[in-house]
Amino acid sequence: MSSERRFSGKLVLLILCLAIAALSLFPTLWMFATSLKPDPLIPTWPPKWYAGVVTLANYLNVFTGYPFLYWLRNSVAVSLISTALTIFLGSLAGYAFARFKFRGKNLLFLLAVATIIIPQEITIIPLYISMTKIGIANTYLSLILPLVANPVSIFLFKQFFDGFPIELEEAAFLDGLGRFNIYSRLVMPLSTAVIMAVAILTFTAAWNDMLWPTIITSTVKAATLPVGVVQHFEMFQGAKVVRYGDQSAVSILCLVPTVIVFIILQKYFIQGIARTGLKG
Amino acid sequence: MKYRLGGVEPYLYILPYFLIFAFLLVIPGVSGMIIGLYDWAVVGDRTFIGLGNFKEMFTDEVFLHSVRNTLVYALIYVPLYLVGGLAVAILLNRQFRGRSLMRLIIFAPYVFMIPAIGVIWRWFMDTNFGILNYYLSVLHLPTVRWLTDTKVVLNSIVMVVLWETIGYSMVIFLAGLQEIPQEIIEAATIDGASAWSKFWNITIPFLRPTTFFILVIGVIGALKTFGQPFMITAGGPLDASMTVVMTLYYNGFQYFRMGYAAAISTMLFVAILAITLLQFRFLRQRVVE
Repeated sequence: MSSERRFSGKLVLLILCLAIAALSLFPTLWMFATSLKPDPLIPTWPPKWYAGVVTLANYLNVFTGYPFLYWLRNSVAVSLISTALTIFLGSLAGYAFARFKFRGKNLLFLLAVATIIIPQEITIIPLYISMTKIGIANTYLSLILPLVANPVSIFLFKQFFDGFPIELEEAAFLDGLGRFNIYSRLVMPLSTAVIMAVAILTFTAAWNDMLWPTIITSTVKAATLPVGVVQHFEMFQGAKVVRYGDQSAVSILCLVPTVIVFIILQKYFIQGIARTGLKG
Repeated sequence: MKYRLGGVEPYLYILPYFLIFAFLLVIPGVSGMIIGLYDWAVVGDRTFIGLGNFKEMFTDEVFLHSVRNTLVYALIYVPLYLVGGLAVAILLNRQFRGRSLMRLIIFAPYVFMIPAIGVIWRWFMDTNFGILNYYLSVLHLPTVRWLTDTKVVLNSIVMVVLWETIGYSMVIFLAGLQEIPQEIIEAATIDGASAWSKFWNITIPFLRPTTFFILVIGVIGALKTFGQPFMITAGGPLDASMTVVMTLYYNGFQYFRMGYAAAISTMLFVAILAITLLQFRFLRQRVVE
């Protein structure tokens, strides 16, 4: 290959990459630029990236004018608790399926995995009716439980433990360590990769979940972030004043936590998704 | 060995999850189908009406519209999701500096919260103040009423969702590409195969299982589309971006017609199941061969 051709190949690659990166970043950057403008200067034609002044007033407004911190706290709590529960229960069940012999094991595993075909959409009406009836609507419990009912985690953990040498566990067992202790003190600390994968998948799903929280929460203080944004920044239907500033600031704030987690854990993210993707 | 014989212990390990599955998936799933047979408001009487709700769907203009929209949407979205994800994956499978950063940038919108995505894109595509239209006008291209033209709006939603999800199909294609044995590609290169022929004769056949997976996932996702149109257009203009799950939501939680909404969810479940099974029946075999 001539060096000239290699150079033009590189140029094409560079241009393609720049174009794709621009497309990917552009809408978010525009929103970020908007969020730094004073509210009255936002809707202008032609649109300007820089309005002449930079202000944090929109961000302050989000914290002072809306129960944003309640929503944030709820979202963080619900996402963290459901992630922890999914890891604990999913790994425990996955471990049992991978390691132990018991009657009906294959059938039970098949049943667990088969629940993947039940879409969330068909469960929401009965869940709404029953949870409202027993009075747990607007509680963390009602938000968390449906997120934990996720067969993918059992599947991933079983898969991982299947490929894990059993000799160590058997040796520990001969030394008199109980099965639960072997699972919790020997196996789990060696399973970071799969734990991270499940954690990331569950956390992102929980953090971004919108349909179910919109339905089951009816008070401002019980809402999670997506619900708060939907119900209190939703101004396109018949509203006279559109608060572009508040809207843009809150949408940027909502992105921050997952983007930080994503950047820190990107390696696990991509492995985790590739793993679920191909085997799930 | 003895370690594997746990007696009742394994049952205790799996019990919590089976309780959760039973009470949060299986029982609600079945009762969803049963509620669909009733005329059921949240308060007041419920009456058994058999297939009445299902009959009503065939005369419900909004619902029929939403079915058509959802199918059209899936037909536009899924091919782009496959081809776009593959194209980006192939581009970013090459060795060059800045590759990981590119992957990060493309994947990032996948972790964005949907309401935020909605606000961002509604503002971005705004007919009057949107910067997208501004740049089109700068380039002397006709501006587009992205969200207010009934003929355009579904395409706009596809654009948003592609922007959000293409990173996911990219990552899965990348994993698939990395499983192609390098020796085969090297051997083909030594035999003088062109890049194009290596692509068609090695890459594509090796990627079949990956492609099939993304197809199945993409179709299911498209059929369940809710958040993006809900946030960006609320189904408008004139129901042109109303999806099936949105009609489910509005009937159940705005008009409080639980029976009818449950019947819609049953239809959705059956449709997803049928389409997925059809894909397995007719496409899986070709994948395995």
